[in-house]
Amino acid sequence: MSGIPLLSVRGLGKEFRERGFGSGRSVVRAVDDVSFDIHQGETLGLVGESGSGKTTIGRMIVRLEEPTSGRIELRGEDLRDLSGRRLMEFRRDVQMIFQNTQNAFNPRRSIRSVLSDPYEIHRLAAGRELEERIGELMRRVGLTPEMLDRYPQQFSGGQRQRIGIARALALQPSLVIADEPVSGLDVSVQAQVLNLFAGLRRELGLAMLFISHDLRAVYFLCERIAVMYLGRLVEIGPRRRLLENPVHPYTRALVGSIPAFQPGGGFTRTVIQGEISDSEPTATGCHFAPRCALWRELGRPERCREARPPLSPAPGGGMAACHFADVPGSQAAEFGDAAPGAHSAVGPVNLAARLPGGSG
Amino acid sequence: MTPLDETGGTVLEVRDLAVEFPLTGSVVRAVDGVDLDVAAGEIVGVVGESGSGKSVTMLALLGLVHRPGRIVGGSVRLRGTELAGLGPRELARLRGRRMALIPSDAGAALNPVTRIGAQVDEGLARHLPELPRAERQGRILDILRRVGLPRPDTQVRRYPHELSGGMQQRVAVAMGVQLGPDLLIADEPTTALDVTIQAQILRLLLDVREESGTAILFVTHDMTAVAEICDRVLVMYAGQIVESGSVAEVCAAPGHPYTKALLDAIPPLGGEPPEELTTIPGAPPDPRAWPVGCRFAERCPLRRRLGDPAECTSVAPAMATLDSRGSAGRRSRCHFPDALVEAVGGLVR
Repeated sequence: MSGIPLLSVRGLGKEFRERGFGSGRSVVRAVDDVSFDIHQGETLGLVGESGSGKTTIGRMIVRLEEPTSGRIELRGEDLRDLSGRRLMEFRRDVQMIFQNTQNAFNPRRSIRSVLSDPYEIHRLAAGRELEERIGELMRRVGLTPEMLDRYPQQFSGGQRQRIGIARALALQPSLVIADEPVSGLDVSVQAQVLNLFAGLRRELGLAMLFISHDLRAVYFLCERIAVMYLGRLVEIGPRRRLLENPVHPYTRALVGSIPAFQPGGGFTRTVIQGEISDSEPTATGCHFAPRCALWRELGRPERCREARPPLSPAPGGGMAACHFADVPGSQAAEFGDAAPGAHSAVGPVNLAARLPGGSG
Repeated sequence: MTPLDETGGTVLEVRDLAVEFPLTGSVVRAVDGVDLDVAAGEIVGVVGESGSGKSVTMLALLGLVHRPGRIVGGSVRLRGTELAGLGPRELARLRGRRMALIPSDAGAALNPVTRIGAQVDEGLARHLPELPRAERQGRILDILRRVGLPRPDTQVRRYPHELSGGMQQRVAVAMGVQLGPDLLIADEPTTALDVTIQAQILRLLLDVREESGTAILFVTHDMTAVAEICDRVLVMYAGQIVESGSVAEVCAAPGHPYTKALLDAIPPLGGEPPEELTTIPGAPPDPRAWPVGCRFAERCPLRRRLGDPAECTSVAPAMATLDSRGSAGRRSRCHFPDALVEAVGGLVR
């Protein structure tokens, strides 16, 4: 794609100081030098485990958090420079959808009042026109205008998420940040909401940052996927390349840990030992090294602990941040045998076996 | 102790279980005639959407349906012992020791102001009061080590909030298995967890079964998790079981349109993604007034394809054996299960 990206994130960082008093509080680097672009009409999936920093990135883009370092640009304009009228325009253009639909709405306000807010705040419509537009909005997300006088708790989780989407769409944004919008929904409801997102993209040309830990949902919706580990972007690339030929050992382990859906085939997943919290966030070195099967296989090279691997072009498209991404034979590396004896080691990531044939 | 063969290895035998919740002016029959069996060493998946009655069924097995809800009929036999007529005290003696629950959200289930060690000790102290304290301490460290909690001697002094979600869930598994129950009920034990941690916990459940032959009822809405760890699966819809059978057979050729719809809704991984995912139209029926015929009829794609046969909406289908295929125990609550196979042409994906 060419031209100025819709959203451009460069060297983004966010530090949080631990709660408490005095100067002994340690600093947590939640987001560490992250860069990516989103083009007009494109959906980028941001995946990673809890604590990887993906939600913080979303919150910084909509200016719910201030970055500690780095730049966020919308159509080439730095967000930090915005104030007054320009900031209002930005707020129209970039909208957020939240995960927890229980808490995302004021329980004492009807849906009519919730959906009227954007129009009133931005003085876009009133009276009969407002009425028409929120009615249209309700139909757009698969609800009916008759439901407008109900309160949030009178809706199911799936319906509330539709209302969240309606609220985000009210101002016809060009970019939507959706933070885990389908987690916690039943499978069939999740499929309905994912279809709604797919339809909106097709029809409105909406660009989206879709934050989720559910790789199946991300794969369905996003043409590119970015993988976060402990505040850093470890791999980014086109969805098929990333899933079928993951380059970074963490991406490979993550892809391998999705159940393959081979009924009767037994337990085929990779089990990565340890947790994200076992990794020490260091300024130097690779964060994933302590849990990395490739690192152990290569005899624990010093380089992984001493130098931060830069994002470099990956075969087949995209980028990955691993010093040994091109080590021959590493494709067959086994994961999951970090603690000998704890669990039986599972086989290599066998993608041919994992992937259902055709387009489903 | 009952010898194993006396009950043919059957740990749990449930017949015609019914649970009701009275509301103002109406009654909700949340569980309506559920039959299920679990054998020693077997993992049985119970799948269904929110409101299908799967969690209430589990609470009923544990004798934990609280007023105004009540069990209005049926029999629950654990290793041959009928639980239906037992009082609260007798049930409390069984819970933890003979049957145990692993809750879905361990973070919420653990007591926030009690250290991990003391919480794990509660079950031991209650059921094995004769055990000396020092020995109990040893057993606590041992079980925490077995569930893969790193540095158990440090963890026992911690409070739940100091542990990650995955570690909290391991503690909940430890509390569930420490007394070697005959039956473990795992109610959405991994729903709130990251996929990597989910893999660890499911692996742990498989290890528990391997090591102690525990029968496990695994409640979830995730068919992919069922496919990988369960031997058999029960599909629930609107308070009833609508299909049962081996996981391999049910997933390969579902015998009920609802099961097929659940499988079809899973987003495929790999290849060119479809434009749209298959969804189930509409919403489950109102539990205050279940439909007369098939409870899934209103949303059923098969019924539409067959031109709306009258029996779907007028006659309640019984749970019937699918003679034409599969092994024994393949059952479905559908008037036209064979039409489904023809329509699908075998494999789902």
